Amino acid sequence: MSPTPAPPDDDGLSPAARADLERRLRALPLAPLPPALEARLRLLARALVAARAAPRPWRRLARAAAAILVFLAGWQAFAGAAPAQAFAGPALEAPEAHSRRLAEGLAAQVDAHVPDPARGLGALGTGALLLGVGLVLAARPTPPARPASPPGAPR
Amino acid sequence: MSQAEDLARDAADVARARSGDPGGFEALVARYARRVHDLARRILRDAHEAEDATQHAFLKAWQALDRYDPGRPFRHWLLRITTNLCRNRLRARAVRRHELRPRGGEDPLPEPAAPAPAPPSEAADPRLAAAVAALPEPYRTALLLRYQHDLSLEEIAEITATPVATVKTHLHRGRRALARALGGETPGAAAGTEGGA
Repeated sequence: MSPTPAPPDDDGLSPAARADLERRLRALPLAPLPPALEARLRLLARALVAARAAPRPWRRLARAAAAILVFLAGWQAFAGAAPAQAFAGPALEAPEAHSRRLAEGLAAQVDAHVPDPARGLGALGTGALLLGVGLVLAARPTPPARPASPPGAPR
Repeated sequence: MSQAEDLARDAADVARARSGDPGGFEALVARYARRVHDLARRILRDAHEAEDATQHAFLKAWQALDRYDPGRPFRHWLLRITTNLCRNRLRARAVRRHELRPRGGEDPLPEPAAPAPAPPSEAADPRLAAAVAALPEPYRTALLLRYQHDLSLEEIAEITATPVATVKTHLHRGRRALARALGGETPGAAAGTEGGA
């Protein structure tokens, strides 16, 4: 006569089934780290530590450069929108219905493919704000440099 | 190596990193990169996004290193950062999908069905790995943190910002779903799942 199987617990699993599932889950292997990611992480770790120890003027310059890049991106978005609107604008004034429909179709195409000027202005504003922040950061007084290794720190 | 030794080693590396010693942070990255990457890969189910999330997790950890409490395990802290990042990415992915979906049209950004397959040497239990990948995210994350990363219910509750009772529910439902997916592979599972719970 075979022993009565243990009643299922609240998972709907018998204790044996649950133990087996837990064992298999614990034994799930970690995926190997892709070599390219491993190399990037090593570089990232070194760069982060080096950035903290880098001379202050370079950090200021990097911040200002980043802000200028964002500013330029905003400007590009705005400038890209302006000519397209100028192109579509006069055609919308055409009196004939056919030309008007054509112009509306053209305007819809322009709207679909060209950044909205409001978005361009928004990006421009954000760029200007970031540029200002970058300049303020660049002009900020430099705090005293952090010691590379305080006395008594474990090496 | 014991848990106390792990804690001491991590604390020493964190102290070195904070003091500007490049070796400290590099050691932490080398020790935990694989664990972080695997968790990100299994939560996000996207190999490329998992690589981004892994880098982002270490960047965030570095930025917040001064706020880390050395009395607590570094591993848990890092897994918490990783889990939060991955969940944020899943939310962003859902928003993108919603915004890009044409009215009445097909989803232009289908959800990845499963992570990229691991190399044969690592795919020790491919059916289980696939079943875990198919679970809803909260169950998947709870099961991974509990069994693969060996965290307690309280630690998982802290990491996922959910009550312990909710973690228990997620684990319970996750195990039940796995048992169903694996069918007769798990001894006693078939009979058990028929009974429900």
